[in-house]
Amino acid sequence: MADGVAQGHHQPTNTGIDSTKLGFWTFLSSECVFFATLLVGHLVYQHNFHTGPKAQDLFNIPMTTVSTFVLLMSSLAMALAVHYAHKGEHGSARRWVLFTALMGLVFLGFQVLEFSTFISEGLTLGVSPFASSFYALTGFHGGHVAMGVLWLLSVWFYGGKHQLTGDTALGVELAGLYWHFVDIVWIVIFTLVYLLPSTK
Amino acid sequence: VTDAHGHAGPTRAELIRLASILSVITLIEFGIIYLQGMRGLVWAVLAVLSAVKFYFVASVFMHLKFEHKILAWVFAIGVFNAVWMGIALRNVIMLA
Repeated sequence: MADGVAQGHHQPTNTGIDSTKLGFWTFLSSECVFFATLLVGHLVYQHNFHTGPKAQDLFNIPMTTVSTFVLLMSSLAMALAVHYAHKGEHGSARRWVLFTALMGLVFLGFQVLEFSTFISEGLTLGVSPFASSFYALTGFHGGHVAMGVLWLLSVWFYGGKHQLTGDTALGVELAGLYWHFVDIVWIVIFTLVYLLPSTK
Repeated sequence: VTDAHGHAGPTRAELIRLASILSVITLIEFGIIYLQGMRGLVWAVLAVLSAVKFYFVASVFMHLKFEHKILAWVFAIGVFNAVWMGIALRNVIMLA
């Protein structure tokens, strides 16, 4: 057993599922509840305690759609990275991991641009419960994206000296699960926070 | 498709096809909000399209479709908890 651990081999479990993977899915499951609290808070404050600039006047839907597209494509890049890691193609896996991280940085750039525009328009953090809940929700999501970028970059650097294939492919897969989850959360935020209030 | 290590997952072509579908859905979501006077219908369509995107990313990109069913249940329980807790929290805030 000690040899198995030292060589990074996965231990057999009675479910047949790798314990690390099961634990990570449990973590993602709990993250759903975390984001639900922030989202509901924002949706309530959006309609009932709204002072200062209105959401419909500030949201730049075309720009947010582009940033959503970038995040979706980063999910494709991440899926390809996991695909190549499992296929044993180290170079391709490492390249797609880097590409995913770069698209994550582009998404964060869009978010910084959006926040700075909103603040210059008067939607500061403390101006209203709407503003506070908006920045809390999108800010925590952005924080998750930033953590994901750091994780992916660490995988990329690790891949400079080690293979991202074989047993290490699970590490790439877990980073991918986290990244796709961040994408899924954004899918919900994009619809509920940006699109629905902007309908005519 | 199963690779050399016995790991099942989507092919490269399937991943690219799904990304294309997701892009088209996002484009529809963007365009549909400009429709005038059909707010109820637009809201319903947006909710369905968002759920479809959610499902596709979770099932194919996150491999839930190819994994042990326990993992899908673990995630589904989280989503279920999030929805119910969201509804409860909304009611509490609205009544306060």
